[in-house]
Amino acid sequence: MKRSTLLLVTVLALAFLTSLAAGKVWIGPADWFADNANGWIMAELRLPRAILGACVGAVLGLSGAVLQGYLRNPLADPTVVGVSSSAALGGVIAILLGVSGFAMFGFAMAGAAISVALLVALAGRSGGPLGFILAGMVLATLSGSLTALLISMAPNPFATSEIVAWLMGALTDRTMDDVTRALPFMAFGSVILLLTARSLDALTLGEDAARSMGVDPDRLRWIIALGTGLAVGASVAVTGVVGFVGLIVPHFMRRIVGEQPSATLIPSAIGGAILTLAADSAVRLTPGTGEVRLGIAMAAIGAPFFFLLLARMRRDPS
Amino acid sequence: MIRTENLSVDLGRRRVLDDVSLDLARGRVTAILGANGAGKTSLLRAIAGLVPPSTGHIALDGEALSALSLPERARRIGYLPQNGQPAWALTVRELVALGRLPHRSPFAALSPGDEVAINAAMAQTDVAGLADRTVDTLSGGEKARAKFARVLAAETDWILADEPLANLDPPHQQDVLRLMRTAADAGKGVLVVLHQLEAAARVADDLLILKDGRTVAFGPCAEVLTPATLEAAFDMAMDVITHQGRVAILPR
Repeated sequence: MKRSTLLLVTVLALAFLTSLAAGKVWIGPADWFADNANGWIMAELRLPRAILGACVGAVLGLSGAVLQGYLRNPLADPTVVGVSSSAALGGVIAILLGVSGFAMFGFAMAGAAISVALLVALAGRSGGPLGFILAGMVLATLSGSLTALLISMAPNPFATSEIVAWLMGALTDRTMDDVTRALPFMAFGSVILLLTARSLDALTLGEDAARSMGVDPDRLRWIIALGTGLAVGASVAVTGVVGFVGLIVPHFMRRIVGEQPSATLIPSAIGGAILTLAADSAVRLTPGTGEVRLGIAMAAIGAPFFFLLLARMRRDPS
Repeated sequence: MIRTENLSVDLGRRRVLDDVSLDLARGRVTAILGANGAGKTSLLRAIAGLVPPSTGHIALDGEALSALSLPERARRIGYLPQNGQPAWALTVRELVALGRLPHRSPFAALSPGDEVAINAAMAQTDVAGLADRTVDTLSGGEKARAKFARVLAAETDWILADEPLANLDPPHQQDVLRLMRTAADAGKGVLVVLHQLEAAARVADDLLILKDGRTVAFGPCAEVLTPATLEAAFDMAMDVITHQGRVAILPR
């Protein structure tokens, strides 16, 4: 294993352990398996939350790296291709219908599936990355406006606040059921996304060069849409929309492992898990009775970073 | 051998290549000349399998090009696109290693054979000393050689290059011309789109001159490079002057 990967895995392990221990109640390792309230908190709340945080962060980081590689644009992330907002729309419909648990997960995944089908259909044959991103933006706008419409039509303020809170993204009160539901989709989607590594490298030299090196662009578009749909769809289904991870993390990783797209994929997954776990630990430690939503915390960290990124790109156009 | 028979290509409703029939042999450099919009790039892209023929067909060593899988084609025909600026700052070694993609199974690491091909390609193009530099730090000439190394590393029978001399100063143009000559002398077929007529006269064994998608002339350099064909292709009178075995082309 490369030294950088080893370092990332070590930091990930630390972030995971911190996420288990940190919160309104600090739980030391001695109590993790204890038969008392702390042991219960650990098994029922902290552990599923940490696992979900790591997995959600990993798929967001990975899909961000894949999309940036595919679109050859460092500003791409899973939210720009419309999968997140479509899955969120599915979740919102589920809340309005009063269903939860597995049914809600199904609604969100259905939203993701529909967006993937539309994405591939709209991007069309030989549409290339430009067609892909335009189709994605149309989808994101469409599902965003439908979501806003549904919120405005919500039958009572309680439903409205439930929807808004869910949309902001959080890992609060997740259970092992959420983990077992989402994990297979995230794992399968991630494997599919990892299959694109070589093709993304070839795309570095442009679409024609990639095709001349044996990359089938239609197949690649399908693979990316499907992998993103499964992995990011499942992550939205259990945590709502958590932005910026997919945007920021690949940037940090390029500084560490170089810019070759295939080399950034696994480090971005690990980095995404670290960032999400750290941010989720931080929101639990904020003073006060409530808890800052993870999505908000991430945006608060992400927006200034995004701004720095833009400033740097303007200074150094290459 | 690459054979095109009555090859036509349409882009949208426009016919950009019209009824072009060619036999190209390995071990030779063939330069494609013509004014802007004459169909040079379209011909190259059609032979590289990047645009489908509207009519006619293309055969590679007797097999229809369309019957070959993408990876199979990629192992036999290397393509150097125009202005292929890498989107990411790869190192030179990573860039050259891309040439091995068609030979590798998914997830497989570089084999010893891959390493040999990469090192040989870098040595031949004199970029071995730049192996760990990222491409955004290279000069134009270094970048051109590194990109050529990528195609060489693929060890294809054919190299198709679209204006590889663009934006290079005369000494660096010479470097790239020499690389193409060496590749052809080593038995590869080289098909190159050029705008520099004199460079074409210097490097090419055969010339193909296109105008409005049609063949004006095709054959050995000395036979084809005449004032008559040049005027037909470019609508401009030119003198072809031979001096000590070299050719100078002067607009009248």
